[in-house]
Amino acid sequence: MQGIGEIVQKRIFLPWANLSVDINPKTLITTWAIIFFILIAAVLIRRSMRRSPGRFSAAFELMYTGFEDMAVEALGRDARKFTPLIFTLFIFVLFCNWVGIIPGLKSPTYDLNTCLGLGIMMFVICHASAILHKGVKEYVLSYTKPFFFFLPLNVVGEFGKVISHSFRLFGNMYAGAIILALAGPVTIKVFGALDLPSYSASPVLLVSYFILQGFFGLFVGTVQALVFALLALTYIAVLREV
Amino acid sequence: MLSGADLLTIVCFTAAGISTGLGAIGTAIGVGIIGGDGLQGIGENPKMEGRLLQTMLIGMSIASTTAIYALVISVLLIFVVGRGV
Amino acid sequence: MDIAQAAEVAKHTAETMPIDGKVIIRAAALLGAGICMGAGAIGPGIGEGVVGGKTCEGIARQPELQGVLTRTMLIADAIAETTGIYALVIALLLIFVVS
Repeated sequence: MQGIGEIVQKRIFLPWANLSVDINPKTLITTWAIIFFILIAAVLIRRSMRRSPGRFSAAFELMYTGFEDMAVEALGRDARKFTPLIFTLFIFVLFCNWVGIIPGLKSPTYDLNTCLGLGIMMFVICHASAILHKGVKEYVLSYTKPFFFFLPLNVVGEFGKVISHSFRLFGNMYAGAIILALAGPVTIKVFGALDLPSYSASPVLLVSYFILQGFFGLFVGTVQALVFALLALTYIAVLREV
Repeated sequence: MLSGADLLTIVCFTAAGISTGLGAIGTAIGVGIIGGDGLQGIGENPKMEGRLLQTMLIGMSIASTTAIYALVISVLLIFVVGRGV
Repeated sequence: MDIAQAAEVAKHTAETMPIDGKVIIRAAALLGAGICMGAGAIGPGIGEGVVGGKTCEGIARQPELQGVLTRTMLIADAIAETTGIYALVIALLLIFVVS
């Protein structure tokens, strides 16, 4: 149980900028592989849209129209601009969470950097879009609603939104991966303490592995990806409303 | 005799236990309230079952966020601070 | 390791890091972090539960308002979450900043 909760880091020194940078190579390579895979899948699905839709592309179209309906309800006319962003966020986080099921790979969202990166990116997008849409005066005035002394409360609330947005995703994936990594050794220790032969632990281990992976990996991963995308849409809608 | 490192390890593990133990109280009550009202809604309006189930699931996963925070603090205390001490 | 060797190791570690003020301060900070996050997670859990429950009931009564109700639920959750965030930040500060 030594390596549980650890993320390997490497330090790179950039001589021309004279600073050293810490990177997590496993997270970065997994993230790039997921991005590559999603791009290729998108190109293939786009190509197969000319003919009559097969089952696969029909499923994607169903999901996309679901998101578009939600976006139209929340944003009105501007939904066209934001639906691709929300859908891409959903698909990206979904595949990031699902990669963790494969033994040997860890989800990129297991690393706090990915989740915080996504959260800060959404923070910048929401506020920039609000300023561009409403103008600076209206945007600053929106912090003083409903009462004037709510100003510090609203500002702190904005930072709270970013932290809760990222930490929800990170916490669910991190906790799930740790529970999965602990399930094996703990089962073996319990069987050893009860003086049962260790080979009789293997069916329990196998069944519990599939059940736990199914729950923590697939189910929780899907729900968290959906919540992430829906909350991003809600934040954009709330900040843009006049 | 008790040494400083031992005391820190003791306190680490105690704090980890308290953190998740207390943090699970509110979440369980909250998720239970959502489930109860969700079921009541399905009883009032059985046609909306799909939509109600989806809203229930989203609400439950948001309500269990603070338990996840407590769990992360516990895991941090056990594996990062308890090892380094 | 038997009892004699364990006592030897305990005496050695007690000499290298005896219990003094600094150790007690750090121990208190860690305990405080645990209690802070634990007790601070009770309130938002119950609160967000009540919010989600009333939303489900509202959607059952008026199905055409489901978009508005879902969005209002998410906004209310974000605000109810803030005290939980305060607890998280204080717990992290206590763990990592108190030397």
